[in-house]
Amino acid sequence: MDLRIIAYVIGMALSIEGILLVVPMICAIIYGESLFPFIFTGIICLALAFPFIKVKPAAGSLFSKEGYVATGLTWIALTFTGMLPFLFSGSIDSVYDAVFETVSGYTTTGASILTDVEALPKGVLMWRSFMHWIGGMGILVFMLALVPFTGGTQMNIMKAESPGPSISKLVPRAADSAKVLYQLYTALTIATIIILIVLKMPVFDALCITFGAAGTGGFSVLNSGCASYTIPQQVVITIAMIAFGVNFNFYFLLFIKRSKLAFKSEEVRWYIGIIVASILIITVNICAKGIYSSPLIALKDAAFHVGSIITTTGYATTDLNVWPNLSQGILILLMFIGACAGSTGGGLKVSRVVLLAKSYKRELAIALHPNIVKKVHMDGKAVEESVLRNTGAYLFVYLVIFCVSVLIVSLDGESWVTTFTAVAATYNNIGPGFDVVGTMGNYSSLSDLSKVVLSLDMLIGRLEIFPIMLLFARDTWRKF
Amino acid sequence: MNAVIVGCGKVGTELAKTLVNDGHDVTVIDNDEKALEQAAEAIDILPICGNGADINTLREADLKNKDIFIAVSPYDELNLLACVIAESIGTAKTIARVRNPLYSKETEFLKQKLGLSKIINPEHAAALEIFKLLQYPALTRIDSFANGKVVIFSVHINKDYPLLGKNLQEVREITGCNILVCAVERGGDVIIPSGNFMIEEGDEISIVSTLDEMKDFFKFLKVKNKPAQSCIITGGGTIAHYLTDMLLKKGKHVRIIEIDEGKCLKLSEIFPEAEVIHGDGTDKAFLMKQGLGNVDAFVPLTGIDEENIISATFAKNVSDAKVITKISRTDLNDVMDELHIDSAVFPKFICADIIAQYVRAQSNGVGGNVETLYRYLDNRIEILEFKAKEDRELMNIPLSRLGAKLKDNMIIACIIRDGAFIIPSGVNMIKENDSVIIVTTHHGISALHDILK
Repeated sequence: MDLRIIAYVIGMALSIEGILLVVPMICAIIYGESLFPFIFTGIICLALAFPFIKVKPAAGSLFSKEGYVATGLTWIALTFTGMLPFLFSGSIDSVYDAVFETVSGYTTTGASILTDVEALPKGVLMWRSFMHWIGGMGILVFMLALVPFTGGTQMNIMKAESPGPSISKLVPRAADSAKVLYQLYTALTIATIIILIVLKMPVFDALCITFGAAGTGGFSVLNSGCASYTIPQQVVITIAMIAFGVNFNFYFLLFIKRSKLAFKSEEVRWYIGIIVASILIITVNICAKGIYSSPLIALKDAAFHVGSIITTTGYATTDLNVWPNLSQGILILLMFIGACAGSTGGGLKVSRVVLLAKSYKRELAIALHPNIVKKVHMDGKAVEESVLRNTGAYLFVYLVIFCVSVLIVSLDGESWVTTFTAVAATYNNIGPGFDVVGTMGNYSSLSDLSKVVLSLDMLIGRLEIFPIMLLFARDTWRKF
Repeated sequence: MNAVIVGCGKVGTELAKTLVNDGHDVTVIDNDEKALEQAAEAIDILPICGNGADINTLREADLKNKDIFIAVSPYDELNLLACVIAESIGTAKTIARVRNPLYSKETEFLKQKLGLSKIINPEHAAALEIFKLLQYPALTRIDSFANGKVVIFSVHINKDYPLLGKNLQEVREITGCNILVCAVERGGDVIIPSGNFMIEEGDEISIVSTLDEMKDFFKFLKVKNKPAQSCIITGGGTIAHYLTDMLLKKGKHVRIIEIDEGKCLKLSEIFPEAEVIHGDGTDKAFLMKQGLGNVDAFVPLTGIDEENIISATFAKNVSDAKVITKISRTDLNDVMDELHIDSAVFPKFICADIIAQYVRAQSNGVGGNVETLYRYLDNRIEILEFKAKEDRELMNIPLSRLGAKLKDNMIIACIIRDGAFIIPSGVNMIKENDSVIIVTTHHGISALHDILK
């Protein structure tokens, strides 16, 4: 393994993080708050990065293994530097809590240990939300757009950081693909911010809420979450969340005016289908149980939370603990399905679920006609067997990690609903679960051990298992 | 520029690498997902799995917005069809690889009728390169510029050459020839030498001069450089076909050894003057029986690189024949230097070079476009010919004044003005309509203006 190129990637990512600290710094200047936490963090980032990026290593040694390891280590490094503003500003005292909050930010989870968000300085709140935006599309993808690497090997980083069973480029060059992704991402983000400001949301809230929705994160800036925003604002947030859960290839195809091909995407169709079906069932369910008097308000809340959960954002406008079991059950299922591959969302990804369902259908056919030769199709094309194999293995490891995490967190002795949804909500990068960790609660009461496990779960979930798990495999570190 | 390549074999991959390094965006189409995956791992390309002659695949590749379409799949017909379809749905310039000798006679006709921009035939180009080397057996490589008036050739320096221990300035004085040593390979390194560079044994030097000067140079060296009169070819494939044709037209004696009887019959049908022998061209005793000991040239052209290399090394040991080997693989060129085989010809590289030259000529840069492009010494050196056009920063300025503004690791090897060959010194200047030959280790220079820093 080539450690120098890995160090270079980490160093580059750290220096980009250091520079991006300018955003909360501007916010702190506007609100007349102390700049010290950000300046000091920025200096530490750049100082740490300097020895790594001083010499640019020779090109071409960034193979698949290095891509995974570099991605895993970069995210861990970013966590430990990204938490410094919380500690320096005194917003969070415990290191465990700071790690949890930072991982939650970068992995676009949005699970918080803070009991009173409104008490935090605005600059720190801005940093918290801005981490969502960076983590959503990925800081390494951002780096690829800026720093030229030679050879075809950049794809190994992009593959390791971007979610989904098979990652493809949009345009021939990896650097250009990264640029296109960030251009689309930025354009959609700015559009959302402008609409929210036009709808009279305070500028600070509009920025933070949009960063959270764009990265499908879910940190809010008010203790009440999104409940105190007006109905039109909530509707816009709903649409924004759902839009950022769509595969970005879809927008690219629309952008280059090939909408026919874009709408052919099975994943996007399933995604929309699942959302519509869930909204309808939940609306009927909560109306029938008499929780809402107005069906329209029920529809709005159902849509908001379905959008919020399936895209793994985690914004909330109401206390979901009072919703009936069926509605809660559907939302828990949506946690696992997650958003589209190639979006900023987490979870298993719609395309994986569709592939698994289709392989199951094929197994049925094989049981009936043992000699049948059948390929699984997606978007009108036969799917490679290696992708199916990978998807099956992914599901297995995914479940194993989930079960182990649930067992460890159960040591805290919370209710099963709390334990189960705490893991589900962090592992799938959603944020709030049910019961104690529900939409109106938070994670502060959990033990430090649980916080560490859940922090790891968030990282594993965001990077789709392999980049983190490979760090613990002995073979990864062998020379040969 | 945006390029689409159909076919992800050795040529397709080599070509993709060249074009990406030259700064173009490349999409590669192939049926074989594994091959695409491997190529995409090493080169920054967009792989698309599908048939290159399928309209839907071409639409997926966004052909409407591409500038160049190159079909280099193994099948001539597919390449031609793909180009015809590409021609009809986009505005890209189309290039097809066509190898079958039957079609190659109709190249111009096909090109015009099907609307192609270029048809390339790497086998024919390889045969031509071998043929040229057989004209000058003392060389390891020779290429020409400006319609053949100027040549660049490479020589391996043996221990009995009177050039040993001389620097390049002295070389010009003692030989009395108007030549310029423009590149030297020594122990794996490539050097663009200056005047005080000392020649050593084992160097491979590349020289720019005219054909006549080259002949005088070898007269001075007292090295035999007369065209080979007789030639043994093993393997009766496409290159052998083209080469035999060329040699027979010059009245040379050709003996082809082919293991497949059917192919032998076919060859003897086409070339009644050639001696076609049915037998194993890798069998030592058999080769000796066929006169390997006394022949002027031995050219192994079988389909298997390893056999070509083995019989070439053997031939080098038992005879004085000029040996030229064909190598299909593209990853062996640095190993070849160690083997002391006279010359090796890489059809895949030739093909990639031809297309790279075409693409660069299209790029419409300032100061004149690339007319000819050769890549020497494992592609580490590029030799380019430009036709100079109006460029105030460059033209009519003595080179000594231009000096500091020119790129490093680059020399202006010669200027051809109204047919006269000039090796430039500080007082010379580039004028409009000159042909200028540049030797450089930089890659991707596509306009004469690019030689400035």
